[in-house]
Amino acid sequence: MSKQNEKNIELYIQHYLDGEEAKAYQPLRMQIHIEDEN
Amino acid sequence: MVLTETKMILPFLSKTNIVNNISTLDKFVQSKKPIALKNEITLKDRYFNFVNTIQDVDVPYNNKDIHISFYDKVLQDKLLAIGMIDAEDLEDDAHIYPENEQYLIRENMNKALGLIKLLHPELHNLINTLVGTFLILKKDRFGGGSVSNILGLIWINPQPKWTVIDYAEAIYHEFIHQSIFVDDMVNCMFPDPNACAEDDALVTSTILKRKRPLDRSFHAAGVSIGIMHLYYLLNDKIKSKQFFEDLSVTLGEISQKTQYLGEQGIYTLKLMQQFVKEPNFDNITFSLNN
Repeated sequence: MSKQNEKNIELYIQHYLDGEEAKAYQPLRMQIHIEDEN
Repeated sequence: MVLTETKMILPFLSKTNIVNNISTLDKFVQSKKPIALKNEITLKDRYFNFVNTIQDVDVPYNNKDIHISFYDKVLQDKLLAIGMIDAEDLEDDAHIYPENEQYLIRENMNKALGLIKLLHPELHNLINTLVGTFLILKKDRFGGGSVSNILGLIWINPQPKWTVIDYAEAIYHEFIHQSIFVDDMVNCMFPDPNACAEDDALVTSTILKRKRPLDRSFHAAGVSIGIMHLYYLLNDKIKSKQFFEDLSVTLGEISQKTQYLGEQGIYTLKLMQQFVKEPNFDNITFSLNN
């Protein structure tokens, strides 16, 4: 594991999983949206 | 074997890259919170040890297959807390499928996984590695989803008219999100996800055909390639080309906004552009095996 990988993982955790930034972030939700057929 | 040509390998559809990413995540978690792991540990054990250590909810998993769950209070509450589902979806337990439908859905899920295994056994293995649980919940107008802060969990809401191939498409679709999440985490694709939602960063989605935050449209571009690959494996000549035009638009717009991408994001973007220019689904079949 390189130092850069370590920094990247910590950044992801900070953005999405833990900490103040994650609380403010609208989670990256990837949804299959079913369009109305009408 | 010596390869005489250079193959275009998309990182999120590469077995080597996915395995390396899990190995990196394993080293990371072992360096922060070492635990004694049993001797005969699988790649999936390592991945879910990482996932269930860093996340605030445990995603159930086993090595043999993927859990298919129709009710999990802990995961459901987490999906509610992050806004993936809404409180109104849960009123009168409307989100829980009746037992007779559960039986049919479970059968269809298993048939779809069997179909993927038949078409590409190693793709099936990779899906089984990155996915611990399918949570089947009803929510109007949505077919399912993945979320960047609950890795290893896929929500599926099968529609009554779905064929087994539609189920397989939904599974492959969500697997790609999971793989991109992991690649983003280890190799940095979107260094500032909040910035991706700013007006300047909106990009036309290949699948939904409307402007969405850049990271979401990047994901959708990757998903569109996987879906076309599935139909290529099924020898469906029309559906295996269905997204090329829209994909080209999305990638063109993203290429004007590379300030929102990390090094791996730029690298993957270039590869996707190369793929649009010279489509080769056999390369994807190869990279999922190697």
